[in-house]
Amino acid sequence: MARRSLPTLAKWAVLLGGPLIWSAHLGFVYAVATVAITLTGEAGLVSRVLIGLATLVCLAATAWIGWSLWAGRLPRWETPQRDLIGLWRKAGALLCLLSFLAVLWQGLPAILIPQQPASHDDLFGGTAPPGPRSR
Amino acid sequence: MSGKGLPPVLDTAGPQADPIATLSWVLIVGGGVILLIILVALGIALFGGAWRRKFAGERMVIIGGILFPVVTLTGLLTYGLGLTAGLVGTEDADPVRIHVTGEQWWWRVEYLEPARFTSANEIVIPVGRPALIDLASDNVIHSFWVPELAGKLDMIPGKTNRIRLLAEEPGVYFGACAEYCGGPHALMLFRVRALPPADYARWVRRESGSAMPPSESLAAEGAALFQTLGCGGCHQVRGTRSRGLAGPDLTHVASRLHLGAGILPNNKGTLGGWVANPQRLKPGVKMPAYSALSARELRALVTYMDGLE
Amino acid sequence: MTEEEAAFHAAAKNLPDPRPRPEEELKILEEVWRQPTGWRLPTAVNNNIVGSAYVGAALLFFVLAGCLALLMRSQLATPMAEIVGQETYNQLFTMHGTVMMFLFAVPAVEAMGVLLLPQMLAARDLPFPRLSAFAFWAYLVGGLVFFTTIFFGASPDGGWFMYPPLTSYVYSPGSNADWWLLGIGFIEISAIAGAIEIVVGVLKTRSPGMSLDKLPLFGWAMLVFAGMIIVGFPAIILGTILLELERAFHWPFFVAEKGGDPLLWQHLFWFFGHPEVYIIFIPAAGFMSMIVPVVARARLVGYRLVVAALVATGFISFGLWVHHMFTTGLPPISTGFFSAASMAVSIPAGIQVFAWIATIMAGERARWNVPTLFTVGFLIIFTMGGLTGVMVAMVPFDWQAHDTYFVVAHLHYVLIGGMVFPLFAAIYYWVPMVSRFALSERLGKWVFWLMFTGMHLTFLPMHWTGFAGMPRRVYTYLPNMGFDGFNLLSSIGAFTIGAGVALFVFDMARKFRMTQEENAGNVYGGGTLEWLPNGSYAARSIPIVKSREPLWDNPELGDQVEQGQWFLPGAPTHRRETIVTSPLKAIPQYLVIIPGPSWWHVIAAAFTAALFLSLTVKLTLPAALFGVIAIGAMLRWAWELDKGPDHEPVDVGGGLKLPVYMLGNRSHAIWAVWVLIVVIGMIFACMVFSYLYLWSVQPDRWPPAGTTLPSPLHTGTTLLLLAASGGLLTVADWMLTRARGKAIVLTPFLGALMFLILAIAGDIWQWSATGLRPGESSYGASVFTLGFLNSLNLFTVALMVLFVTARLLVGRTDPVRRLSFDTTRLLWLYTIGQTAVSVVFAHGFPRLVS
Repeated sequence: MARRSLPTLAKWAVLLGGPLIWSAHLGFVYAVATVAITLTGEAGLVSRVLIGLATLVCLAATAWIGWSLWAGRLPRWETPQRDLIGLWRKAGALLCLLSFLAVLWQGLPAILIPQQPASHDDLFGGTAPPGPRSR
Repeated sequence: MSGKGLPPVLDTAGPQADPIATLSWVLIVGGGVILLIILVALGIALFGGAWRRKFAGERMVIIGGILFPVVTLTGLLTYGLGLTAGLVGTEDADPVRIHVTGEQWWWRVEYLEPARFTSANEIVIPVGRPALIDLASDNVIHSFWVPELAGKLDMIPGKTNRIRLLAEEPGVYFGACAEYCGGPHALMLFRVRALPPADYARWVRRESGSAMPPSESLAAEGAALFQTLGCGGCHQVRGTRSRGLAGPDLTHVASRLHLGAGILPNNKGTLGGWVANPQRLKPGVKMPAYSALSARELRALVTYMDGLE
Repeated sequence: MTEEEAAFHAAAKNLPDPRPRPEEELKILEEVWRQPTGWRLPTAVNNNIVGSAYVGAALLFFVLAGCLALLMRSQLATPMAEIVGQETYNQLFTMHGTVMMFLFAVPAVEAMGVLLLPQMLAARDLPFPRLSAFAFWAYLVGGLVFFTTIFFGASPDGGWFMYPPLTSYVYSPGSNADWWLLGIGFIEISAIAGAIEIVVGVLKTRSPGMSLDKLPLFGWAMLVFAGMIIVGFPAIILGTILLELERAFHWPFFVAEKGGDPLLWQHLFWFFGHPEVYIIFIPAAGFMSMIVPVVARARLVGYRLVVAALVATGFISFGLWVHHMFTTGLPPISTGFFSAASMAVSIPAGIQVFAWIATIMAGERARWNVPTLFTVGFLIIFTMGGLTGVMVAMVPFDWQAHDTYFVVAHLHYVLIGGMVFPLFAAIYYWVPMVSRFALSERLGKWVFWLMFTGMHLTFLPMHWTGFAGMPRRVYTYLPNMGFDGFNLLSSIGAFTIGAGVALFVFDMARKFRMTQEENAGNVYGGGTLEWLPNGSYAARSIPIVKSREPLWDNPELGDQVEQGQWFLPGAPTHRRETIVTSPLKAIPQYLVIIPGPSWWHVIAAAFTAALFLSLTVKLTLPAALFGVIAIGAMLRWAWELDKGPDHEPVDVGGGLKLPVYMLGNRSHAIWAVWVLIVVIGMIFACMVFSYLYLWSVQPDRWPPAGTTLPSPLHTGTTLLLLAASGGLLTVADWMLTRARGKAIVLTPFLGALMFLILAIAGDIWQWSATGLRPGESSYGASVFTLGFLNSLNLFTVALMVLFVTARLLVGRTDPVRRLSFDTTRLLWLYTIGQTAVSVVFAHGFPRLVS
């Protein structure tokens, strides 16, 4: 019984492949930026390169899964049924397309949002003492 | 509101807000056009002749629901990110520095540079010179918003945010607390006054100094009363024994435009009404009512405070 | 092809079977499914009754919360008005938001799911009808008590978003905020219960042959809805736990001076709160995808695209939570990621809007009945809300618009357009399914036009007042700020909507008469299975589904079904039952016996309510008593379940024989436990996130100076104890499988529980032995909360162990009848896993970062 349930899960995983990769990407880029800011005070070059790499990997993965779904190579059905194949092909590929776009967009801030100017080192999120506190 | 009849968000007065006004127009017009397209499509679907069926198919879904939004949204996102970068990335050589604390339900304003002194509920900045304002709170969350000069930024306990204000024209700009902070959150307003550089320098000289001593006998009586009533327990009047920090600094209260955190015009009448019964004007305010004062005592107190220019 | 598939296809050849059915068959079926009447009515569990009552209760809260809105609009009609006053106003807007979101919107769509899904899937009932009934009663009792606080001035006044520090013990010392936490606690419980029901119902009780590609889109929508609840609600569950721990015991999660951070709440709240908007929109989109084809008389254009759109929305909506926090001063790069995701989520919405328009275009000339009107109204209003949604997704624009009336306008366009209008369309469309009369078309048009014009009159001007600088959540405003006239317009509009709703309520009172057998029928000509002839047993027989609109493609289907020519025309085991099918292809697997009417779940719900209520007013002793009664009732309720294979495999028609009991991964009960595990796992994951988040706030004080960590020896001991617990549990499992004596099963079983207790309690003890205290720092609070979550699991497992032990002793659990044992084991293994991860994490992370 346990053996049979796995392929079903795997089929779901393929159908949801795009959005799952998208979730991982969002979690990763947010975590990398936050950890970089926690440790160094700035989302510096290293974090941006990491975000860029993750974006490329996720783009490639969604593209590959999406293409395989569209071409009917994924998933393998032990007893094929036309309607389900059609659902996986079209819905799965569209999900990958949407995820591809979202991942692409989520990579943009790493390029378009510059690091803070030095004089603003504590701008937006700094905790530097603000001068004399009244109480 | 200006003479053009436009609301403050669209009729801005400084480089931190102007690009957002432009963006708003782009979004309003663009959104309007898209709405029109969809309404036309819906109208054809509902009222069109049999010819309309030619368009009904997945192709329409793919073009209208995927291709078109992807192109528009990619453009918008790039625009928005670029704008964000521009608005937070400006470097300033010679900024004015101010620290504002959100209190329940007023604003503590501490000027750091060029001179160091305290005030409340009104922020004065020079025209044409950027002000970097550190925003903090040690109670609940507030949000600092001067729509004509910049977008809003929250004041969060444990964290200091910094906002940049730059007014290009002299004027009085409306500000409000935009994060619900309990009680009379609705009445937690303030003003930003932008003064020409010379006026600003004069203002700093006067405002950083101690309070004016009472000039007439009634005022002197009021000053004494201020002490005996214990006003100084909560309010500071620099140069006197009043050193309280729980409420707004009153050293130069008469020079401010408004009372009660931006809600009442500042004159003798409102001042008296406020002292006698602040709860009526601003329910929930932490200042107790001094309703037992005799008319003369109240007049003395008001005369004293009205002289604190 | 598997055996099951082969058997199904063989049977399918023999169906429909035109031979007449034995006469007593229908009588037995009716007898088995007879609804309790009179004073026993509350014991009813059937989805028709519970679903209708559930929808009715949700509408009641809609009207109540709407009245609060009218009071607010009266106060705001003119500047500096003193109609309700500040304190009341703050309670009003808090209650309006809370009641609308938690007591109306989520329950309403969940209720529609309970009501409609079994009919659409041609199942006799949902797989766990008592669970839905429990959810309903807990919601009704809790919701009503919660609402009455407004009459005593005891309502929460911190906003429906309840941001600390305002809502924590310093600034909200009264019990007002606790009422919010209580009210939400109920909805959490009933929403999760409903989600379990819906996931298992949609995936496992579809009509034979109804593959996922033929699942009505409302089914898809509810599947995504339930999935989102399972992933999203845990964040708010944890949030409410943390806030209550802070309020009651001063554990500092949100107090800045002790290392907490108010923003942690915002993350947790919006990780739930943003998806929440889609949680209520997605089922509404499901309504639309069902109704649009019917009003257009054309099949939906792009079914598979819409499926993808629903799923994509379900995912991407979890990537938007930070866009409620654009003005908190987060690093711009982070806001950028979430701005991107906020853009992305609008594409699936666009896909659906165009699919609906294309369907209308493809169909015959529109008939202007009330569902059509509400559908068109929805398309217009929702599109406008969607466009302003793109606007606020732009970070700089949001800096201006955030927390102003612009956002009030936006969210009401999205929620009223995206949820209320579809719900009204759905009510007009589906009332004939459960009522003797359809609602009035003539009055319905009035209802629509009043609501439609009122909607624009109220909320269109608010875009402008927002631009003019009017913040949200203000009980009044100064005159001459440029707000006055617009606010008056909004107030007039609000009363116009109110008039429309009042007319609707009047029509409901006039026309709605609950009945199943003599319902008004398929007034609008729908093509899906809920329009089959119906009894309290749902459809007489369960057809094989061959297309997405079976009634359109086979006009005789209704008669065939009514004459019992398809599967399961009777009640062969003389009990309530329905067919369980496989999740993708819907191949029949077994016949599930469904529990019938009972008082136990009603008592459990009532006393769960009493428990929470007495905790809120701090009556600890009665609370404990009520808790014991509630748990006792739940156990008693469960005692009757898991009946075992007490009947021969049944011929359900066409020669298909199905077993009446199933173990392992096909069992619907095991599925339910898996769903529950995902929920608990998400709560734990959110706690780990909170821990890491608080670390990122003060990395240099994690742990605070002077803290000693438990030694690696202690870590090892705990892990060994956990392993021992798992090992002994496996031994007990073995012994049960091999049918060894009770003592031989019970000894390792109870031994394993001892080890689990030692591991979890021991770990907490080790931490307190290091001198760490939860009240002193956010670090301590986080560590002990991890232990607290493990203890909650332990408590549940221990109860289940005692329960299974009792069943073993009296012979209700044995080697073949062992679902109770298996479900306990599954949750237990998860608990071991979670505890192990939490121990390694809490002991290891501080060492890693220091």
